[in-house]
Amino acid sequence: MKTRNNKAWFLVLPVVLSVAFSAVVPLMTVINYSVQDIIGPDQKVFVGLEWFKEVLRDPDLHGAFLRQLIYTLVVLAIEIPLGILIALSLPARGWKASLSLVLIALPLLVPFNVVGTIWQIFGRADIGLGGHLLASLGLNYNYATNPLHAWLTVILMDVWHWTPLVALLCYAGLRAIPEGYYQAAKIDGARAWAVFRFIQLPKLSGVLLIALLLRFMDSFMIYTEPFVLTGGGPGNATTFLSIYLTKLAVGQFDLGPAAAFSLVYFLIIQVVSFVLYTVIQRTTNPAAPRQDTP
Amino acid sequence: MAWMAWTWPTAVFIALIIGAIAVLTVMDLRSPPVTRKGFLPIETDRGDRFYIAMLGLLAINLTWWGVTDASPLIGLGLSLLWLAVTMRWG
Repeated sequence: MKTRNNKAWFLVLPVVLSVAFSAVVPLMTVINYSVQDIIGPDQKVFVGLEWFKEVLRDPDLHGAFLRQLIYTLVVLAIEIPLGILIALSLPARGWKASLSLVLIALPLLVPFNVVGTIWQIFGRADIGLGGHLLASLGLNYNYATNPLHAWLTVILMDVWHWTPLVALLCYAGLRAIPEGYYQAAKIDGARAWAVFRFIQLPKLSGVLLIALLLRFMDSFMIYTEPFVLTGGGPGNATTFLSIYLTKLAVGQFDLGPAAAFSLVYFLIIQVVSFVLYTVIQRTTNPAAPRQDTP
Repeated sequence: MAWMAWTWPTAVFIALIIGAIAVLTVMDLRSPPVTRKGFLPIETDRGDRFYIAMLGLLAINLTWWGVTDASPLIGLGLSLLWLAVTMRWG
């Protein structure tokens, strides 16, 4: 009779415990908060589904959701193709490749709040290089008062910060393509576009979808950079979902509605991430049967 | 545990989810999960179907609470129907 070795369960126990205390217990608390009016530490009133109805019908939240969706789609539409382009143009080997990779990775090492501060200063016409250059070209650029300028700055900031991640992932994917494919393409007389379309792009699909998933989750939850740069303004122009949530929970101390909104936010991230993950699995391994452990 | 601000309805809700996961675990240990293709666009085993059904259940209820003032029990009924259909034919 086949015996099972259950020792592996003990190996995953630390992870289970850390996830339980860092994620599951706080999530349960948020669920509890979402159905109560938290007046004080010892004063709570059960309100049922009231906060869910309130936040789901809140026009400010609808506005923040729409802005978040547009922002995420725009940064993904820029960062993914740009990351591929950068990866394709990098040297394949040698010291130039190493140097390029180090330089490209630099923005990823900058803390989020510092990124916001860098761009806040960079965009100012009085003390920032970027703002000063634009002013000298006769452009009345001001991200603090003009919503369009604020959006452009926030998007540019995100592209500067995160395109390197996509580029590095794509670069790793490109380096993993066996040389034989390129040799076969050369024998067939394939042009650069055909090599990209029929060899590199299909081989990159796995890392591209991972990049897409990571960038979706990150950009959909973006908080620090736009908060430091614009504080969600001018008006509500760059108030994305996380900024709106923070205003609700910390600014107004509306913990009940903030908890209800957090759960809605969590569900949206879960659904989209699950769909993307499923697409990743199907794209990278469409024919293979699933491996189920008996 | 007072800091977690427990209420009876949320305790029951969370206990049901934990109970369902425990039941699925026991079922998986007794009979290994088998993947199959139903009306969902991917091959799923019973754990996958439960997860998808739960996401749908929450989405249906939240949508119901967000768009109508009708009794939330109707939304709950619809979502439980979705849960049953997904687990059986998903």
